[in-house]
Amino acid sequence: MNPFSLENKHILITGASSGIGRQCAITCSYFGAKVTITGRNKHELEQTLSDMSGGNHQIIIADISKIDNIEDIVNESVSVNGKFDGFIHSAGIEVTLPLKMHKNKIIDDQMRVNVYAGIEFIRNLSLKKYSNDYSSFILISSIRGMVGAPGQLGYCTSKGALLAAVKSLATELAKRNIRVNAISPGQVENTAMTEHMLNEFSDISLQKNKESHLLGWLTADDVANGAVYLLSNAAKKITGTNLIIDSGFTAV
Amino acid sequence: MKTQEFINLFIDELEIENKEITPSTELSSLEEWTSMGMMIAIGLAADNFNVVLKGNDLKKMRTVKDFMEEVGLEKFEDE
Repeated sequence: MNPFSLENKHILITGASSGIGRQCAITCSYFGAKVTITGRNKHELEQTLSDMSGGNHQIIIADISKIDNIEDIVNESVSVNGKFDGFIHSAGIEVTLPLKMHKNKIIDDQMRVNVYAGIEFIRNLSLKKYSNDYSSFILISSIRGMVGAPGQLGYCTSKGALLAAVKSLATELAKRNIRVNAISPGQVENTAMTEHMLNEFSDISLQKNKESHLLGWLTADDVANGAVYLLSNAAKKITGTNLIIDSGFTAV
Repeated sequence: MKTQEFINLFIDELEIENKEITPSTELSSLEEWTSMGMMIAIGLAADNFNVVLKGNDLKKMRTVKDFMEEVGLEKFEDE
């Protein structure tokens, strides 16, 4: 069997209504996975679903910033489509504001969605009733977890936290042969988050950002292909790591 | 708001030191007028004038007066 295949795997993806999460859902479906997608926007999730291959996928509309709802999402999906074999936490929010305006609530909102929600999903998915042994969980971090940028204190803090979290989670879940890894993408073209950030960039910093991506900005499928690898049996000895997919941004 | 009150607020928020500011001051002459400084100016407009400015609105402003026009000259008692 092709070690990169996701046949017979049930994968849960947050943030699947746009950007990286959406492309992960589409790509996983083409590699044979049965996928449960979550997000806040029904219309956008249906759009994602219509681009996916195969059937038996499930949509769950949910606001994961309400952390207490997360067990219900996992429970509902398992009751319909069976235990999970994989998880991608792609939901994330980014706020660019100067430090003097970066009040606690701004940081808290980003930490809640980007970090706490992802951890709460994995906490539930660590239970035997919700996941199979040999599962693979992925937290989508960012180059901003490793390299700073002005105005992005909360975002950088949250993405850095994910890099630490995967190491702790990997050590704890290895007993079930469950793997936990991060992916750190560079700037991804044509996503809502990038559109929003473009508006904040000065022309000079935009040019500099583009030039620092040695192979050009990413597209979402560059990230999704990495996610397929980490979810697949091909990566069966990879855990607690960070897969940097950044066009060479952090090599400079 | 009076023009001078606005200028004082602008100086405070952007933490401009040792430079006289008038409506004709060129924004590009201010070392504080960076992408972060522009965001502080967006916050100033939102908090004090209830106007939501976008990054692109600020990029095309040339002077302090342009900023006042963008938030609405009718909001200044002496303009």
